[in-house]
Amino acid sequence: MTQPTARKRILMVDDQLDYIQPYAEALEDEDFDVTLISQVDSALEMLREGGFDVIILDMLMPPSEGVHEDFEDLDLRKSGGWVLSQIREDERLRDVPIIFITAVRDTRVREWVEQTERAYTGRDPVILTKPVTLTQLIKIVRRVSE
Amino acid sequence: MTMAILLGIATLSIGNDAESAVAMSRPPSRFEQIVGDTEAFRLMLKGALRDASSPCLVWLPDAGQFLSGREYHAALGAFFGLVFGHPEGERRYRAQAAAITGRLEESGADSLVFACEVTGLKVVAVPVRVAETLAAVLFCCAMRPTDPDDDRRFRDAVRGLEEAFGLAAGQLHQYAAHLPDDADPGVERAVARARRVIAALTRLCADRLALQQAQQQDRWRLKAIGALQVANQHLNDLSISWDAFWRATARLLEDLSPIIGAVCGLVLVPGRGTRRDMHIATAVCGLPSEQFAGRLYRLDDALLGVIARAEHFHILHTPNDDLAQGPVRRSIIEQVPEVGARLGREVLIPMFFEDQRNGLVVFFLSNDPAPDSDVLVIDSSTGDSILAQSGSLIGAAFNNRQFVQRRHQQHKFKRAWLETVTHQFVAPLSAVQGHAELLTNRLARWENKNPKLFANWPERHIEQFWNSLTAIERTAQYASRLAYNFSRVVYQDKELGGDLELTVADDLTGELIQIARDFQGSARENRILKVEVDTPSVAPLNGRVAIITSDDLFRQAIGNLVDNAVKYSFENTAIILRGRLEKDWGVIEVINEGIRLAPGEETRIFEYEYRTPEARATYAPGTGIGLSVARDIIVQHGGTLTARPSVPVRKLGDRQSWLTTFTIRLPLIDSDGS
Repeated sequence: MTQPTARKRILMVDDQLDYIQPYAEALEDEDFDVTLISQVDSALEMLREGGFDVIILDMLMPPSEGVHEDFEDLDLRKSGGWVLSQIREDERLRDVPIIFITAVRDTRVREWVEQTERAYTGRDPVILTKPVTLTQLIKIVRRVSE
Repeated sequence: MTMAILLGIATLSIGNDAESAVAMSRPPSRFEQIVGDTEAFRLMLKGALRDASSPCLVWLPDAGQFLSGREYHAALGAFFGLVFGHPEGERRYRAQAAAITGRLEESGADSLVFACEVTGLKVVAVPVRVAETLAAVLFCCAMRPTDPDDDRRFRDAVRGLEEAFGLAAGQLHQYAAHLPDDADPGVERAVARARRVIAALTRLCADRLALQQAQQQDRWRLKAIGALQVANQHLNDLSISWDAFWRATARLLEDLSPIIGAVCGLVLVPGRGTRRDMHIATAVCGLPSEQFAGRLYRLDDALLGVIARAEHFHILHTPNDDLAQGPVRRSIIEQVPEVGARLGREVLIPMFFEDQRNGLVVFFLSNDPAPDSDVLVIDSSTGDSILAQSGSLIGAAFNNRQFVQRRHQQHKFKRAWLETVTHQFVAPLSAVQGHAELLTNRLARWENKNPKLFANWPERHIEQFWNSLTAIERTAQYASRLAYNFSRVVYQDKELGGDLELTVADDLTGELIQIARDFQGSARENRILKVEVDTPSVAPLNGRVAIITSDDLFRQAIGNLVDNAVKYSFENTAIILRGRLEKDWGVIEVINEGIRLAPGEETRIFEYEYRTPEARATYAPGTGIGLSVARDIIVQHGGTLTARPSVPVRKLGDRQSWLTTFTIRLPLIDSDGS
């Protein structure tokens, strides 16, 4: 008799929870265990406690208290690239797949995220640009969590 | 007593080869520069003095030479031929001529009779003055003195020359016997004639000098205009950077400096930000730019007031008394003493553009001014006009560059604003779409599990419910698409190409089917029969074209075309996506049947915000940017997107329907992906 496969755990971080609610529920419907969180600092704490298989991040979020004031550019300070670097800094979290969802097309922010991910993992980041259909997201989450 | 006529005016080429070489190598005297054709001058003098009773010599003081010629020795006659032909004799003559020139310069006299220290003869000297400069002296009318004392001195001098030159005693004296004595009335007439000739010559030289100067000024003017034209080409190129702009400006200063005789020059523009009370040195010439470019100067209020009040094309010449006080001058003297030592007066040229006074062009002229013809005279109307033009040119170009910069900033601001707006729209729309999709999926699933889920609902309400859900999802999707298109317009000049990921479309057919499926709902709403992919025709393209997957760009482009087709198709028609191979291209066509795309519209429809009159008449929602964005994306694929004017198909009711084809050509790749 085979053991039931453990549900994959997903952490979704977005300052506008209403906006990602349907994605979370669609993933729940597909048997993923989804945790929603809007605070960057709390998200980092949870991640460090471990157990997540996939992270879905908004690319632009309000800056965390920890963001260094050296970032003169507000967009870069808000960028999920900073969160990304905090996650990848932790060796235990270095291989956890991260999917960025964003409505932002500013190549500057994207470049920063891309450079950060490449610097830590040697891989290109997965970036989905809104509008993203539930089907698209489910497909990609399945792929990266395998 | 009739005297021999001896004329010694000839060409510059003289008999002695060595002397000739010296004469040829020395720079031309001012007299020669002015007269130019000395042979013509000789003939003129010869004609005018044909009755003269004595040989003539023309002395060129600035060259320290006599204007003599090959026939000179013979023409001078025996006495002067012997004395002047001897090297020591000529040396003594030159010393005597220089001394007499000095006396003429001091006295300003129009003629001078003097006793020649070399020969003891009495000689008349007539100065040739051109533009207040003593250019030459005519020595003429040599006379034996009749005064006993003078006669004794003459005889002693002649004897001394004979001994010095190794001549037989009495030989020179015998030759001198042919010269007139100073009591001869013919001498006075000859002197008067010589003075008249010289007066005419002076006028001639003055005219010639004026002509020469005018010609030279003309040459300088043309050279300055050439420099302005070159600068104009560079400075009016609005695509150049500020650095390139200042380099071109410095080049103009460098070109103008030698033309006006300036030692150095720079452009001062008002400071910005916290340095508004200062002026910044920008373009620099004749000075080390690393020390002066970017240097800040505080100009005194009086000067700033003058600049502020200055009219167009107004050149300011600062009075000499004020020069030592100028901050720019002081800094040059301190920083580059060798240049500072040469600074003469300043020329200030306001940089004008309409009502804008953008700064100041400053030239420092040399304190050792060149002769007028050597530089463009800037106090002249021509010179001032050239400088005013340079100020105006730099001022206008500066203003234009600022305008372009402001526009760039405005554009940047607009882009940032649009980006924010787009983000604000897309995020909630995406959520609406997600909620609708989630609800649809869940209800469909539950209804599947529980067919009686809607058992208590009236049939028409159930249908309305599903229609509403679909409409919400579709509308949100459409609005997102619009917002996306806006964002594409915002970023279209951002060279996205470098970041785009091209992926070989192994399943292009599947990709197109997915896009077609996305539009089935809208098509149904418009009573369009179907959006269909002609799979057999598309299949050969699988694995042969690469599409941009970043941001779903390819899907966005095809989607915009299908969306366009849905909006302008007639009821009960089909939209077909078809493919084919064509030489080096993979071709995808989006074909629909509906309103007409008239000849001439097939290129205009890709223009930003353009909608055809037929499209506007359908009242279909549209912004006129979808096709523009689609073409932009296909171009980023290295392909083309074109349209053909519609062809008539059939009558649908009372309307003529037209077949319209949009054609995408994507570069084919080899099977191995190269």
